Amino acid sequence: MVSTASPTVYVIDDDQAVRESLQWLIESVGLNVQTYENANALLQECEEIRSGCLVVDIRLPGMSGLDLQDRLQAEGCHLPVIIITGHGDVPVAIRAMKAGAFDFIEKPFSDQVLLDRIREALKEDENRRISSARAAEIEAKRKLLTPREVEVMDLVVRGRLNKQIAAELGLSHKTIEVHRAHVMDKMQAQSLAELVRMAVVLEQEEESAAVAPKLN
Amino acid sequence: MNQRDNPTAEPSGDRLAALQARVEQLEKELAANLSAQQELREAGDLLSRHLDNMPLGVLEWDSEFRLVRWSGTAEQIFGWKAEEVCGKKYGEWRFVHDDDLDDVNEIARRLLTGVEQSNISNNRNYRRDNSVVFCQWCNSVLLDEEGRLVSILSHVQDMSRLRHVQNSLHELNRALQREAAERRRAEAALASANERMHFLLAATPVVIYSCSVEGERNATFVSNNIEQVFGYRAEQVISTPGFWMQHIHPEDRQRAADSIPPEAGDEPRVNEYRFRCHSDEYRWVRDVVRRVHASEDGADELVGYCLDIQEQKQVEQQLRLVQSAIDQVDESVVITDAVVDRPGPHIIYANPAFYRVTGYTPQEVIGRSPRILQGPATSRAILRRVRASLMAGHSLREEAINYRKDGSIYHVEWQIAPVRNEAGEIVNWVSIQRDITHAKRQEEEANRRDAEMAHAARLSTMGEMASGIAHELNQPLAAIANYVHGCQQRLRSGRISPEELSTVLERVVGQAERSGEIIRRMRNFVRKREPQREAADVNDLVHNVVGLLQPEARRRGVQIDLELTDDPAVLRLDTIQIEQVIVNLLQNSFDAIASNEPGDRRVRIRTVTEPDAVRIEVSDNGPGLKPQELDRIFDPFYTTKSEGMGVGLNISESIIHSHNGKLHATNNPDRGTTFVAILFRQMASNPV
Repeated sequence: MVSTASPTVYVIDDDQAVRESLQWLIESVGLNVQTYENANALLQECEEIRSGCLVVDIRLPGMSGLDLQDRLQAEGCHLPVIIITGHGDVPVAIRAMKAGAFDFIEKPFSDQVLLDRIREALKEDENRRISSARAAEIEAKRKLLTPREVEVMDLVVRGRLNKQIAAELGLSHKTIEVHRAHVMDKMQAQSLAELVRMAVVLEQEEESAAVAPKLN
Repeated sequence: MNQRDNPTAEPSGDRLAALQARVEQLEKELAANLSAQQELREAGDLLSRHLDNMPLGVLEWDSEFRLVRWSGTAEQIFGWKAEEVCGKKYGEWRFVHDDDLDDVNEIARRLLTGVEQSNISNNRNYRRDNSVVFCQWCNSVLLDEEGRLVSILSHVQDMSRLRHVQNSLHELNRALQREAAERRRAEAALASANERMHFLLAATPVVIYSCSVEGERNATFVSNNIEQVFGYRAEQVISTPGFWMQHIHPEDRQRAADSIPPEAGDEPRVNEYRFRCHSDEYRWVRDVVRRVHASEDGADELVGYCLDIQEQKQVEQQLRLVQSAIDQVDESVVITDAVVDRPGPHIIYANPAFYRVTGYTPQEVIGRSPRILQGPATSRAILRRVRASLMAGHSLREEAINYRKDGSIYHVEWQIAPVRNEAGEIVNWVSIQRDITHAKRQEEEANRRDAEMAHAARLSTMGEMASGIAHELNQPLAAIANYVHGCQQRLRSGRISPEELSTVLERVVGQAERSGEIIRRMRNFVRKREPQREAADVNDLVHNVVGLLQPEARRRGVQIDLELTDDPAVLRLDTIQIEQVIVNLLQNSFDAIASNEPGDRRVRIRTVTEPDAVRIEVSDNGPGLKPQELDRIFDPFYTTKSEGMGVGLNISESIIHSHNGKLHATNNPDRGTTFVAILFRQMASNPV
């Protein structure tokens, strides 16, 4: 379900001049901009955030940029975050990257760099939205499989031969062939290769959901 | 005077027998009468003879006070013969002494008028040769049967010789009485003198003696009180040959022996020597000795008295010690009388250091007022305080600028204290003045060093703040870049109106000014300059500092709250130094709350105006200071942090001190610490 709403750049900076000038700059390339003085102000509107990206000053009073990033991910908001750092804050920026930030920009930055990064982030967000929509589609099909069929599919996409699967599950070769045909049918897979791709998409989605908490 | 009896005959009657008897009777009476008349005549002659021969002069006056009898003795007494004066009336010749005339007239009047029938008069009379004779007169009057005055009889005695004897006796008597009184007085005086002498001898510490001149000066007399004074019995001293000399300290003995008057009657010699008492203790003795001629054999004798002057000697030594100490100290010591009324006390003593320092001579100073040391640069306020102290009788310590005789100035630390007598009355003032010009110069030097150190500390602080300030500077620069790029983008696509452009350019200018302000504060803070005082509002300084430290506060997640007084908090101070203090206190708070949770790091700056001071309080909500940290927090190089030199608070304290203020730290009741800097409106009189 890719949102059709136009993406928004959410700017969070406690310095009013910086905040307003960023808005002035980003709007000059035709993007929607929302500005917030601090992280809490943004979190209050978190529900409505659908697509776009965040531009966050790493030094925010109260909740820091890093903390905000964690909070958003915990709440299932996966918008890409661009961290703006001051001079000498590179170590903090690297931590942010490891925690899943999309990119960081060091002040002072050229307008083009910022705008490029924003565009890339928006593209990334769009991509992620698309892949996430596809994963949801595949997951829906997989939900139709019986537990035995799920077992068979897992082994198939790992490249096991039918007779290996039969031995592993203690079933007859014939029975495995029947299960396999049901899997292909229910998953609407035209080939084994397509089934494997579907499995990879699911796996990636699971991983991305699991990664952030693990790194926290 | 004669008295005659005249009998009367009675007439005869009828009876013859009776008549006969009567005749016989009459005849007998007649015979007796005749016989009596004869006897009477004889007696009268005898009386006259006796009267002429008796030692009393006899005078008889008739009723008219005319002299009728003048006896031979009267002639002998007065020189006049009877025929010369008889028949003269009283007062007709110069007979009564002029000075006694009134008294004698009165005596006569009393007799003549019958007031008295006899009386006695002691008066002076003139002799025929005009000489004066003392007489005692006894007068009596003779009256007839009718009481009429017949005659006045006076007998007179020459009293001159008796009078002379009497006078001599009186004289002698008086002399005897005088002599007796004199003797009584003398005896009383002698007794009293004796008593006094005994009392004095027993009570005084003066031992009286006499001794021989030659040989070992054996004593011939020593007063008994020697026992109380030196512990020896007088008999012991007298009976032991050479006793006295042997008890004089060996070092003093020869000198004492040599020092006696060479001739009798010479001035007494005064010796002081140590004398061994019965307790074996040597005590200082003053011995005054006179040489006199002795009575019998003609050999001279020494008499004198000794006095124990041990205490006096000690006091003298102590006085000498004090005197030499006062003479030798470097501090000027001046003693004045206690006159408080203008023009104030007079100098009665000054020690050599005073003359050394001031260049005056004693003649120029003694009797004059200590005001001679004052000049235009001497603080009037200090002089007022000095005067107030004098009036109140309090001691006082001040620093002041004094003038030497040549007009050059020197700094003194000045201490004045009252000197009181036993009754507690102030009798003098003693003033001790220490020349602290050198110390003052050192202090100024130290102040310069402090200023340099403070500057170095500011540079160091600025270094610590550099990244924060760089960030702070980046903010307006980034904003400017963003605005400008935004404009470029719009200009390229032609989507901008001149009004929009104008609005944004105004914002750009604002941000450029903002960056300029940051640089100004920074440059001002690290500026090196001589310490100077100017009137400034403490709130402005707080704003400057917060402007400098805001980025650092943001970086460290610290929220700074300001609670600044609305009253003008204007003081004379060194703005940079006080800003430095506020920076140090703020940074200290930042460090103190670094361990707090993000979002729980708060620092509050308060300014409070008080009637005589302005307080700057910097509070944090950190863990607070431990007691031992509170004690040492202002020590140099004391730090609880891993980074930093630990000089910030020390320098802050020095700065506040140099402003005559106070800086202290207390833990808050709930949590955290508050640093309080108190700056008094009345600053130090001599600016650093």
